[in-house]
Amino acid sequence: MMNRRMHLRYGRRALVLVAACVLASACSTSGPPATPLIDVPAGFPQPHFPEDNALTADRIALGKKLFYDKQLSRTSEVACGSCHLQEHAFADPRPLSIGVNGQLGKRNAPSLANMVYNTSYFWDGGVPTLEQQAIQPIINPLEMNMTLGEVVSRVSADPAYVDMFRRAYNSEPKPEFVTKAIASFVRTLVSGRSRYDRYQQGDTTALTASELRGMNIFFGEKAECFHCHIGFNFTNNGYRNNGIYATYADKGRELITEDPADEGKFKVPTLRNIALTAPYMHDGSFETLDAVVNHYTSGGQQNPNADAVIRPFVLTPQERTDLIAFLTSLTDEQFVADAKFKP
Amino acid sequence: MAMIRIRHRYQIVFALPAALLLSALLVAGCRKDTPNGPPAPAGNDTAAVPLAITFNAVAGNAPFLLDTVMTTENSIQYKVQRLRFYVSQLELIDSSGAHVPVTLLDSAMQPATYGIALVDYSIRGSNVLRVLTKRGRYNGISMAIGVPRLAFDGSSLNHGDASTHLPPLDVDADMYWGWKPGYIFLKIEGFSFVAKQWEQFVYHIGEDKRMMNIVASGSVSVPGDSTGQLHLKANINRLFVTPAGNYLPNLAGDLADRVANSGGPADSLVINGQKSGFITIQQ
Ligand code: HEC
Ligand code: HEC
Repeated sequence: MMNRRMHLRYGRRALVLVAACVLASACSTSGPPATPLIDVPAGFPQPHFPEDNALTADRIALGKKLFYDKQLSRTSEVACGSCHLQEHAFADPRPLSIGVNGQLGKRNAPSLANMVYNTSYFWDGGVPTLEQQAIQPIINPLEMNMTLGEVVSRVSADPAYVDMFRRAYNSEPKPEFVTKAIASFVRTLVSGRSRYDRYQQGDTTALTASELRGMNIFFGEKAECFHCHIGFNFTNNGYRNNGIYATYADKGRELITEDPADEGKFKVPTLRNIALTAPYMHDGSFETLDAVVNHYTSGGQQNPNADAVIRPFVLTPQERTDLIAFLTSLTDEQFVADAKFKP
Repeated sequence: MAMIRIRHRYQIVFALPAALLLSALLVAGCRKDTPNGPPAPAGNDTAAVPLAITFNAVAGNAPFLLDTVMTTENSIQYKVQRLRFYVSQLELIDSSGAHVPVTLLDSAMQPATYGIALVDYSIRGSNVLRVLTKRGRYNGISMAIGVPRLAFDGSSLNHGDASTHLPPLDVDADMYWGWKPGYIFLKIEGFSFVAKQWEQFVYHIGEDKRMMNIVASGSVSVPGDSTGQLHLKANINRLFVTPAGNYLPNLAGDLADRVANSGGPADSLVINGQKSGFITIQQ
């Protein structure tokens, strides 16, 4: 009962929020906006947005500007977009990403396609929301090596930014709105218009004969890829050990759960746009899809947590070609060329 | 610490107890009570009175100083570059054993938003916590070193979106793990003398299961005026001695003993912090 000031503080904050809603008409959570901010591909579920960060055009625009802004790094050398490149479906073609002062990171930067559908972020799934995810690269000494306070003071010095923050969140720049805006932009990176999708929508000519054979191998009981890479986004959103090592230098999911049974387990990644996102795996250790297929046919390395589904199988040279052809049909040319994602 | 907030400032400490009591009366009835509501320090008999709680860090019999060589109880030389920890859930224990909540104040003498203080030995004065409580004689104090899972209003705190949090839980306090959402409760980093040379040690302790719940017994008196003082001793050496008298984590051990944010070394630090007399009442 004692904290009158706390009350006042929250009370006024609520008032400010109400005012913000009226001003920016940004608080409606019911029903999609008139022009969809995300063009949801056929067969994809409707995405969900956090209650305290409804998607608006102003928030996306601000988030995009921040995503491509190198000022967000200590040395002004590195932006989010330096490690997540649109032509690679927002993945990094380097095995390990390079942050400020040429520092080498510890993992391969994955594609940012369809993050809005994910339930956890990073290879070990340590972070549950895109807002929280956006904090990490900014403060990571190996990536952008910044403080949120310094980001805020840099953007506050730019009247264009100040205006965009006001329009997006009816506020001066604050750490909270930096991460919320970035998350808003990342949520719009939805990819689902590959030839495989056209085939799914009934265009029987969309896939070649080889790709169709590859599709059957992918979804068949010999290769068993679909056990993990399943559903519209080719992931069961689980954590699995696919046996790429006998002992793992990077413990993966165990770092989060502290459970040795999770050693070497990583988030099952989407395979959309996979032909554009080499090199592969959490550490970028596989250079080509051919190398990946070799890994799976070999049954991988023995280790206590290796998934039972990962075991040797034989593909004829033609079947191997077909499987890789199918993986290549998952490329969404429109996504990587889409002007609305460009700086 | 720059805090952005809307409030009135009371410059005079003496005005606080009365003002708080008055405000309690004013808002009584309109406040939606939450299960974890902020502690209400004032009894109906007395107003809340101030108490200053000081964490005096020592290494055994020597004063604790950053970047200064100190010696553990098993004679390992070490020097600390960083020592920071969050203090939360402060309560005094009365003669009947009942826990009496105290209201932690922030640096502007306002009830601290989260009821949490960051003690950082590189920031002068951060080891003195100012609280309001009921006058009287107490038999001890209890606290947690850590960030509770939930805030007073029931929202996520330890695992919430840190970019929305105010000091001392702001991301820039440099106590936040970004790769997983959560706070480092206690951070101690430095060098220890291992096999004839200085080697780095880095311990970052966190996670809900590693809340360090501490009870320090001893007489505490809270007078009815502004002079109330409680001096606590934070003996860093005791963090490295288990309740059974073993020396774990091993500051002179190999890398896995010296650099840890989970597993055995982290668990030992928590148990030692709770049970080996890390925090005691100084008479
Ligand atoms: C220095 C390179 C680099 C920079 C800069 C960078 N990232 Fe990343 N990003 C990575 C790496 C590497 C990973 C994988 C890290 C991991 O799993 O631990 C990653 C992972 C992610 C993920 C999670 C992907 C998934 O599948 O779970 C998202 C989302 C993301 N980054 C967004 C961003 C945003 C937004 C920014 C800018 C604020 C950014 N990144 C800046 C390298 C970078
Ligand atoms: C038991 C679950 C499981 C099965 C079955 C499985 N994968 Fe994977 N896959 C994973 C996991 C987990 C990863 C990430 C592992 C890592 O990074 O260490 C992965 C990674 C990949 C990658 C690299 C993705 C990237 O972005 O780097 C490709 C390509 C891939 N799998 C293709 C396949 C194909 C083709 C099959 C069938 C032959 C298959 N997978 C079967 C779990 C599985």
